[in-house]
Amino acid sequence: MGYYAIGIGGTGAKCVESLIHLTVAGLLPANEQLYILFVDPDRANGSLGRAGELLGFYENCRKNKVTAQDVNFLKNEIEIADPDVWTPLADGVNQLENYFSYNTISENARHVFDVLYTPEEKATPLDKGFRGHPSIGAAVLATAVGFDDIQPWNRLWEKIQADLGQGEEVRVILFGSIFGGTGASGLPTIARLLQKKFDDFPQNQKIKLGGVLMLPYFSFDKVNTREMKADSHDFLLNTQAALQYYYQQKDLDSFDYAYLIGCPEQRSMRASQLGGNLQKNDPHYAELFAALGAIDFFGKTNFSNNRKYNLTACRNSGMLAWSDLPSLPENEIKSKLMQMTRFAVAYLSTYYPMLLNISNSPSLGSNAPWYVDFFRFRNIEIKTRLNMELKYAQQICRAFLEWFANIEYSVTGDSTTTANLSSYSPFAYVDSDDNNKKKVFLFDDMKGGTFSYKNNFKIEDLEKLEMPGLKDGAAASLWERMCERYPKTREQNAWEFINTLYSECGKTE
Amino acid sequence: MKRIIIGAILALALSAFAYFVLINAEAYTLYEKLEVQPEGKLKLDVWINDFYNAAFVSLILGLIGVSLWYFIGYVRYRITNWKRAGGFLMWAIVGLLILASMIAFGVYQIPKAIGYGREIAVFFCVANSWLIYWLTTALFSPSTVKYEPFGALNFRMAKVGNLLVNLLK
Repeated sequence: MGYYAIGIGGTGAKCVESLIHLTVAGLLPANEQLYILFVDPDRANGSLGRAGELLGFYENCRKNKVTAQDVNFLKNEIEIADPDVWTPLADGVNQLENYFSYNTISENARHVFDVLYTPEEKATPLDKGFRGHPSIGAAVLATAVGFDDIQPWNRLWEKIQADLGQGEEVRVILFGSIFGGTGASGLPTIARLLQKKFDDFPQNQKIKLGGVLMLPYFSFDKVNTREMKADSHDFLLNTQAALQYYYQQKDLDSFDYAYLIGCPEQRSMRASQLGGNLQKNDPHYAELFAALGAIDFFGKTNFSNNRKYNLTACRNSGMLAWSDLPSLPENEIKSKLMQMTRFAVAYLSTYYPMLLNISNSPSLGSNAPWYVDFFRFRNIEIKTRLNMELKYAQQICRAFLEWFANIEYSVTGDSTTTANLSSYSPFAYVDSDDNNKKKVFLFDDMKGGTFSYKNNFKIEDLEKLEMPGLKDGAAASLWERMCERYPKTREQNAWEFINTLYSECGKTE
Repeated sequence: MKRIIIGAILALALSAFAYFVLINAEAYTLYEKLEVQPEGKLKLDVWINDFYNAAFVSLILGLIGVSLWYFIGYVRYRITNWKRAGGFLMWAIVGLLILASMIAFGVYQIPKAIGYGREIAVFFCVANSWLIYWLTTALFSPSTVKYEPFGALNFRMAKVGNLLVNLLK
C-alpha cells in the first residue's frame, strides 16, 4: 500500500510533523513507505522549517538502520518529495498581478480581475504566504499544479502509477487549515485537481483521497504591520465561510474520507509574525488528532459508498485522556508513544551522555557493561558512531520529546496542572522565552545563544529519574536489564544497541 | 540473578575443592616439603592443626567476601547514577578487607615457626580466600558490575561467565 501525505501551508506542515513523530514511534500501519510533500509559497515558514528538519533527522536515521523484530522505532521508510517544498510561485514572480500578467492580459480580463481582487491583494508580495486570503491562493494553485511536467507533482503521479502497477492500493491525504490562507485555498483546489486526475485513471477505485481540515485551534496577537496580513480574529468567520463554501460547492465530495478537527478554545501562540522563519508555532494537540486521522485513513480496509458522519470529542473539557484519542486501540497508541518517550528520555538522560563520556575517557567503559558488550567486545569505534547513528538518534529523540511536551502543555497552557497523557516534568519545563512568552524547554536546552548539547536532566541517580508511565526505580531496572543483554548480530554499528534499548523501554514491569 | 546463583555455586564448589584438596596439599607442602619446625616446644602436629583451622577460616572469609560483593553489586548498584557508575574501588576494598582479616587471623592463629614457616602458611590462607573471591567475582559478578573485578574485562573472564550463563538459559 502506498501512503502519501501532503501538508498545505503552515498548519499542514505542523500536522505532517505530528504524523512523522507518530511514524517514528511506529504507529503507521504495516511497514509501508510514506511519501511526503509540502505546499507553501512561504518556503522560509518556521513551522515548515521544523518539519523539514525533522524529516532530515529521520532520513539520517534510516540510512544504514538495522531493523529488528518487534522494534517499531523508525520501521517505515519515508520518501521526501524533490523539491520537498513546492511553491506555486516561480522565481521573481511573487505578486498576484505579475502571476497573471495583469499588464498584458486583455482589458476585459483586467476588469474581471479588478472586480475579484483589491489593489492590495493584487500587489502584496506572496513569498510569505497568501496572508489569510484564500481567494488569492485558489487562483494561483489552480493554474500552478501540473502532473505532467511540474515537479514534484510529476514524481508523485509516477509513484502512484507504480504502486498501482504492482497491485497496491494508494492512499493520499491532504492536511491544511480552512481558516487561513494557503491551507484554505490549497485544500479544496488541490483535492479537486487530484480527484480529477484520479478519475481519469482506469484503476481509480484503488486510489483513495483523504483530507484533514483543521478548524481554528489557535490564535495569535495582531501583527504590527501595514502590510496585508492574516488576523486571528477573522478565523471563525473565515471558517464559517469556508464550511459554507464546501457545502455549496460539494467540495468534500472530492474526498473519500474527510476529518474536520477543531478546538473550543483558541489559545494564543507565542509567534505573531507575518511569515518567514519566525512564524514558528509550537506543536498543538489538535495536530496529534490530525495525524491520528491520517493513521486511521491509511489503515482503513473498508470504504463504504454510504455517507457517514462519525463524531469524536474529548470527554472532559480542558483535559485530554488516552481514551480520547481516536483511530487506534487506546492501548496501542499509549504503549507505542510511551515506549518512544521512555526511550528518548533514557537515551538523552543516561546512555548518550555515558557514551560521550566514554569516548573522552575509554577507561570508564567498564562502568557501563552494556557499552562493553555492544561496542568494546565487538571493536566498534565509539567516536565514529557518535558522529553517525548515535547522533542521529539523539537528534530525533530531542525533537520527539520537544513535540510531546508541547502537545501535553497545549492542552491547558498551564504547567501546574496534573498530567493529561503523561507528565513532561522528567524531561522538560516551562519558562519564558526572549519575548517573555511561555515556552517549553527540554532539560538539555540552552536558553538563548547557540545550542550545544549539555545534559541537565534531573538525575541525582537513576533510581530517582522518572520514566514516563512507569513507577519509581524503573530507570535503574532498565540499566540492569541493559547490562544483561547481549548483541545477537555482527553489525558494525550502534543500531543493535539502539534497538535493544528501545525494546527494553517497551517493558512496563 | 542467574549470574549470582551460578557464582554462588562456583564459590561453594571452590571452597569444597579447597577444603578437600588444596588445604591438604598445602599442609603436605609445609610439613613434608618445607619441613616446617615450630618454635619452642610446640609439636608439629599441633602447629599443622592450627594451620588447618586458619585455612578453614580462609574459606569462610572468601565466601563472606563474595557475599558482600554480591550484596553491594546487586543492592547498591541498582541505584546507579551513570556519572558515578562503576564499582572497582568497592571490589578492591572488599578484597583488601579479606586480605587484612586473613593476615590478622593467620598471625593470631598460627604459632611462630623457625624461618618463614608461619609467613608461608599465612600466605597459603590468603591465597585460598582470594582464589574463591577473585575467581567467583571475575567470572560471575552481578550484571551491573560484571566488568569491575580485576581481569573480568581485560582478560575477558566475565565474557567466559557470560557464555556459561547464556548456555544455561
